[in-house]
Parts: sequence; structure tokens; C-alpha cells
Amino acid sequence: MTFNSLTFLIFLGIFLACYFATRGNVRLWVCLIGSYVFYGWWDYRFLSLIVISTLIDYTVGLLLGRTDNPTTRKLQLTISLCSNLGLLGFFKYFNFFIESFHHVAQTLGLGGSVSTLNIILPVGISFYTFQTMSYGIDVYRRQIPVEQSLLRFATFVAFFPQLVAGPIVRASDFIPQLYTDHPFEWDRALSGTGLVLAGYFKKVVVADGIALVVDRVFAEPSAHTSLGLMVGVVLYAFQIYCDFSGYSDIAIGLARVMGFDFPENFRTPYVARSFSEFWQRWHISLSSWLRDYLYIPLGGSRLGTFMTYRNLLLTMLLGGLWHGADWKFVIWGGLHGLYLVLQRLLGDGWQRLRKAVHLPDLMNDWLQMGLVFFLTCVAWISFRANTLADACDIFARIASFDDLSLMTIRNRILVAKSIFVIALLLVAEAVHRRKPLNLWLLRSPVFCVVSFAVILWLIALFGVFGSNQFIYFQF
Amino acid sequence: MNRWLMVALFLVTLFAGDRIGGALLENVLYRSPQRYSMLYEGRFSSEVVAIGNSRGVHVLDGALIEERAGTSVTNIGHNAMTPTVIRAIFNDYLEHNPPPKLLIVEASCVTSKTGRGLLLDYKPFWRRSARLRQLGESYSPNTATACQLSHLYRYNSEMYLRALSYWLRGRSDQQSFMYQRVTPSFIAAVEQMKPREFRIVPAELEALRGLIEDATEAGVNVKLIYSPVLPAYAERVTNLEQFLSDVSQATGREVQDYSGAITDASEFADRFHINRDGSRHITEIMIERGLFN
Repeated sequence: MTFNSLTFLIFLGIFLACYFATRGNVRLWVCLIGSYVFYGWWDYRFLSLIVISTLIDYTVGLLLGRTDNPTTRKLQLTISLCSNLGLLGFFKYFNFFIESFHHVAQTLGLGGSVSTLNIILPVGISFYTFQTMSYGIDVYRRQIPVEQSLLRFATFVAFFPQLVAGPIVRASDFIPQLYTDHPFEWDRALSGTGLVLAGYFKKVVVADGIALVVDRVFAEPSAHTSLGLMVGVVLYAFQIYCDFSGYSDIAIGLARVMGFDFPENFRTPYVARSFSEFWQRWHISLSSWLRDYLYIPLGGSRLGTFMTYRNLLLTMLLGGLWHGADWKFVIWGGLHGLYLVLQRLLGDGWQRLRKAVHLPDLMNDWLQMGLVFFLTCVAWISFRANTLADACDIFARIASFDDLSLMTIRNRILVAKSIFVIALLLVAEAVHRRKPLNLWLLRSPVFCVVSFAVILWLIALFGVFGSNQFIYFQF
Repeated sequence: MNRWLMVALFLVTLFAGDRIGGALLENVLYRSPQRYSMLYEGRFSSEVVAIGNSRGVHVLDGALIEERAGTSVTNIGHNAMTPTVIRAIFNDYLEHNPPPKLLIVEASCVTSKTGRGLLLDYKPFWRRSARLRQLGESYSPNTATACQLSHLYRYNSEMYLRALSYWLRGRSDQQSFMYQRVTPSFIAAVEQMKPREFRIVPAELEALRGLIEDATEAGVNVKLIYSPVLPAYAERVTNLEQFLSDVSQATGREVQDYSGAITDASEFADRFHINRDGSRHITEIMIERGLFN
């Protein structure tokens, strides 16, 4: 069941009616059963993985709460981490590592045959695994109390709005909210609905509309000119942003309607003027997770320049691998790691140069924004290309800069439509940056009525209705 | 503002905007010089009508043929068109426009099944075409219901965007060239392809026969053609002659074979489509062979 399907809208109607009609533990049961139905609709067999992950981390949490012995606690945390990473490793990375090992063996002339398993990747496993892992680590660090109620803990793990594609909500943020019965609040419903509609606009109008062009370009890179490929890559940058942030907006908006506050997951990332700023704006829940549970434990920036660079690179490489079991994702992560390192290396030089040539602030901002966007697009090539060979081909063709015709793009009318809807989005985001639109929604009923209607008209007129999967489901 | 009043105001705004927007978009649609807008407005009066899928669109370029042969030609083909849809549209043509003397059909359309996507692309014209609406409804009842609920949704289609684009540019869509050119690596890849067969879809062949009957009844002469195929690809197809003979036998019309008429690969955009140079070249060949007589 995806957010952009009719089935989901029917499910949501029934769920919300039951949710607001109940209180206390009954409401938690409604949330849990609703979430399991939502997930099981895709493949009920994989519900068992969520249940196993829930039971392990709940039990480890209880055990951690019962002992002060550091060795025992470390062992308990290790059990939690191993079981979570074991599930993730088996379902997501088993074939990848086997195949990579085989390639290395072949390169070294060791040959031999390889057999992989036909493993289906359970939707959302990377998200809920990271969520439950953070609970275990936080309890181990004594940053949060142990959750005694299995029902509440299971609801935290499986809560359907963010279960399959984030945001990755920390136990410290979410579990305390599950202790309160949130009544229906008109203002929350309005701002939540606004966010949900914005999310649908991003997904159904922008992302899925752009996909019609992008999919063709990446399916046959050799049939496109340099400029055609550039257009495809830039459009993909907006496709993935709108697809993923659209999902997050719907998730956060639905939670808000139900009375929960989830952290922001995207904050107009393409206006970032540096890569560190980009990662404070893009998939914030993952980047902050990686910062808190990987980068800082590795030493962060406390162990000298070289170790800082090593930690940045390692964190981004693993962040890339988190996205998918393929070297192209590792390269994507590696490129971002490299960007972060280069930024630290060259940042001071840039500032000195800027002062020397008296570059105005505004122009400096635009230059930096353009550079960050350009380099982000370069990294997206390896992320989106169907194979590494395709990615290299696209890089080479764009770099050759030999043919600046757009005539190889077949449905140029769809490119024009894509540019139009992206322009609409950018204008809305620019307005939102100056004054958050949810404040406008709450202050002016007329604005609320008109903006909701306009979004629905745009969805009716430009939406792509095929229940297209969200890109991040595959991760 | 009272909450119920706000909800009511929202519903009224949503409904009114949808209806007004729908009416405006419909108005623009029928002002466009796009082929189907012209067709349903009864603005055609050509001697020859050409129809087919994308191959038919690029091989029978209305503007080019008119310029070179001096015969008025209208192309009402569209990408992925099948005989089922062609039959509905040609009958609509006869209903809204004077009948042509000659109908030319590009015959490769019998190899595709009628799909939901194709029919839904025509939904801006459902209000004028009972035939297309019925076909659309039978393939996607949900879409038909959605079109009733939202008039804006009727115009959510690539076809509408095309109409809008031609309206804004103020030019006809009868000239429709492809600009790509196959590369040596593409040709090499085609040469490595496994041998393949063209398969006729029986229901579509039946629809083609029906189309010929309808046209003949209206006094329109029908010619079938098969347009050029990239030579490297033609070599991979094992049953081209058999395919053409099967279509001829089933329809009682000879399929004029232009599959090998263009031998220069640089005149192809891909395996199945000629580019601008190819369109110009094939037009001369077709005139020479008296196709439009």
C-alpha cells in the first residue's frame, strides 16, 4: 500500500475514524494493528521481521535497564546491534558481498563459481532497523529511559506514516508522545493536511511527472546528446528530492493530524551553500543519525585533521551503502565524503579569494549555491544510472560537451511541463522560506481554502496516477 | 471563521474552480491547430488522410507531402496507435469532416495491443467522441468516473499539452520530424540482436478489417503501407514477408512495402523510425511510386 494509492486513502479514512474514536491502550492497539495492516498489504511475510526486530530490541532494552555491569551491558548492546545489522546484512547486502567477493577473486585469478540467493528486499528495512538500533544505543548510553510497555514500543517501531521511508524518528522524540492521548485539534489538522497536500503535489505532480522524462534518458544514455543528458540529470535531482521529501511531508503531516510532532526531514536542500549545509538540509533524520551514531563515535573532528577527514569519508561511504547494495551508491557516498573533505581543505582559501576580489555577498551566495548544486548533480549520476558502466558513459558524454541539441529528448513537451511544475515548487518554497506557509494557513482561512483548492486542482491537472512507488522504498 | 463554513467554502471553491478551469481548458483545446482539435472542430477538408502509429506519423508527414505532391494531406496518426483506436478516430473524422478520397494506413499498427495509456491520452476528446469515451471506459472505468468528478482531470494528458503547445506557437502539428540519427554503436548493437518475428494481434487485425469496411462504405479508397525499417534491423526480422502477406490476405488489400526503401542508416532515428532526412527521402519515393494518386 503506497501513499499515492486509492487503497491507502480508504485505509486512512477508516484508520483515522478508529484512531480518534479510541483512547489509551486501545488507541495504541489501533495504531499498531493499522501499521501492521499497512505494511502487511505489501507482503505479510515480512511482518515477522518487524516483529522479531521489535522483540529483540524491547527485550534488550529491558535487560539493559536491569543491570549496571558494564560488561553485561556491552554484551547486551552487541546482541541488539548484531541482530539488527544481521537482518539488514542478510536481506540487503548478502548477494552484494558474495558477488563483490567473487569479482575480486576472479580479478586475482582465483576463479570459482558463485551462487547467490534469491532474496527479496523487505520494504523499509533500512529505516526501521536504524530506528530500533538507535533505541538500543540510547538506552545503553542512558540517554533515554527503558520502555516497559511492549505495545508502546511496538507502535514506535511500526508506526505506519514513517515506517517504510522515514523520517527515522528517534525513540527520545517519539515514545514520550505515545504516552499522551492527543485529541483532535483543528489547527493541527489544517497544518497537517497542508503538509500532506504539499507532499502529494511533490510526489504525484513533480516527481512522477519528471520520471517520465528521466527514466527514458537513463534507460538509453547512449541515445542522448550531452545537453539531453544534462537535462536528464538536473531533472533527476528534482525528481528524487520531490519523491523523497514528498513522502516525508506526507508522513510528517499525517503524524501531525494525529497529534504527533515529527522532526523536519528536508529543508530546501538545493539552496545550500556548502556540503555541510546540504547535509543539514537533506534527509536530516539520516544525516543526524549517522552523525550521532557513527561519525561522533568514530572520533568526529576531535582527533586531528587527518582523522576528521577519515571519519567524514567513512561516514559518507557507509551512508551511501545504506542506500543500496551496489557500488554506485558507495561511489555516491564517497563523492559526498570527498566534497566534505575538499570543503574543509579549500574553505579558507575561498574566503581569502572572495575578500581579495571583493565579491559581493549575494553573488558569493549564488556562486556557492550553484557549485553545490552542480556537484550534487554530478553525484546523482552514479546514484541514478542503471549500472556503473552507464554512469561512466554519462559522465564521459556530458564531459565531452559535444552536442548541445535537445532534439534527442523525445517528449520535449513533458520537459516543458516538468520545468513549469518545478518553477511552481521553487516559488512556493521561496515564499515558505520567508514566512512558513503553515502560519499563513492558520492565520487566514481564505488563504487556507484557496491554497488547498489550488493544490488539488494542480494535482488533478498535472498529477500522474499510477501508484508509482516511492524511490526510497527500495532502500 | 466557523469551521463548517470553512469546509463548505472550500468545497464550493474546489468545485467552482474545477468547472470553470475545465471550461477554459476545453475552449483552448478546440482553438488549437493540433490534429485532433482540428478534427473534432471539423476543420479538415483534405483529399488524403494518413493514419498509423508513430511510424505512420513520421513516414506520412502531412505538410511535407502537401508541399512536394501538391495533394492536400492530413495526418491523424499518433504514437502507439492501434487499429481499434484508428477505427474510432477515422469514423469520428467522417462524422465531423468531409470524407477524403484516400485513406492511407501504416500497417505496423496491427502488432500492438490497445492499451489503457493510449486510450486515456485521448480523454480531452471524450466529450466530443462517444467512440473514444466508450473505449476508454471499457479499459479504465475509474478514469471515466474521475473525469466526471473533476473536469480539470479530463485535460490531464500529454495530448492536451501538445494541443496547448501548438496553440501557443500558433502552428500546425502536421510537420513532425524526428531529429535523432542512429550511431554506429547503435547499429552494431542491433546487428548483435537475436532474430525476431513480427506478431499480429488478431483483435487488431480484425479492427483493421472493420476500418477498411467502414471507409469503403463511406466511399473512401484505402491503401496500406509498411514504412522503412533500419536495414540492420530488417535483417534480424525473420518473417517480414510473411507478416505483410498475412495482413494483405486478411484485409484483401495489398500492403505496399517500403520497408527496404531507405538503405542509408543515417536517415533513421532508431530501429523503426526515420528522421527528418528519412521523411524527406521517403516522401519523394512515395510520390514516385504514385501512392497519393
